[in-house]
Amino acid sequence: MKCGKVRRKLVAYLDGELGERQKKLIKEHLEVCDGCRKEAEILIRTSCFLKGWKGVKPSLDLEAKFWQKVFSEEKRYLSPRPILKMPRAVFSTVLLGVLAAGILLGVFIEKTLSWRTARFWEEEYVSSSGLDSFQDFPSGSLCEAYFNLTFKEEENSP
Amino acid sequence: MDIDAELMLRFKQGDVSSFEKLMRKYKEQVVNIIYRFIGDRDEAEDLAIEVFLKVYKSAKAYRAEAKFSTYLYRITVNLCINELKRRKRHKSVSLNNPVASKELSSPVSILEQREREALVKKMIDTLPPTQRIPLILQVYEGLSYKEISKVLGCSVKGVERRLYRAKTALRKKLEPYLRSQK
Ligand SMILES: [Zn+2]
Repeated sequence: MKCGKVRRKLVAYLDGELGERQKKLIKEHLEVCDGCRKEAEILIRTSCFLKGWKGVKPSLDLEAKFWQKVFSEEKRYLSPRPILKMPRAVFSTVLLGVLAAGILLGVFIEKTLSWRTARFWEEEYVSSSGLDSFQDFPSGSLCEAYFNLTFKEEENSP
Repeated sequence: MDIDAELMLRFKQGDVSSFEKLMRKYKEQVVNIIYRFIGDRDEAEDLAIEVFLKVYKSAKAYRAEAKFSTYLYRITVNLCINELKRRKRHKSVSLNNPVASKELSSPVSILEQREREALVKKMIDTLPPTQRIPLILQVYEGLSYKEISKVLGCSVKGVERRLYRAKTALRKKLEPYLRSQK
């Protein structure tokens, strides 16, 4: 293996990321090549130096902060829509107004309907009871006799 | 299926204690990935909370197709990238401050641990995000190239190329200090 190719593969070799065959070839090269061996050494020292950055320990209240955020988001999600968020006094007034309007509308509709219904039933009753065609009793029936009798009585009466 | 994916599925079915276990297990990794990427501890913690909030909210859609850690790291990385874009839009603190030459003048052997950490942090900040993220996942979280490729959604070769560039760049920058450290 040539030095150039070894150098390009050196980082992956030191990270333990090469297959067995390539690993063997590079290992053999490093045993005989001073330049590449020195390069490998300095890369190892670079990695050690980088690992000296220890990082940080998370704060003890990180989880508490997380749950606080979860609850505040859930609360926001579950809270009422803006229209219901108006002040209590305003909300009550609006609600009363809506109720009053509803009652008034109800009364109006009820009145209109009941007047029309009454007329309808009146007409229906008159036609169905046969009083608008009272002369059509079957001849010889008891109804005709009764009608003739009362009709004549009314005619004869002063 | 890995045990963490099982915990996540149990949480999906309503067991909140499974989610708590996952958060307890991974919070340090998540905070540190973000911290090493954006460089601010408090912000890293706030963003870590956002990561877990995303996991919490998307539990219903969770399917154990990959390792849970891969899923979690992907969310973390996406959040880091979004944060970087947001900062660029608002032109806030530069994440790529080049290391001033005078700050690098002392040999590594006489640097205090805190100074060494600051030096590493600044060195890593000089890398483009496309190299910085795989470097953080590989060096500090111990992820394999294959795992990184799954997190980033790129090929293993792509990861190898990025890490080669990142590490050789850092090696060049650190060489004077590393030689004095013998
Ligand atoms: Zn060589």
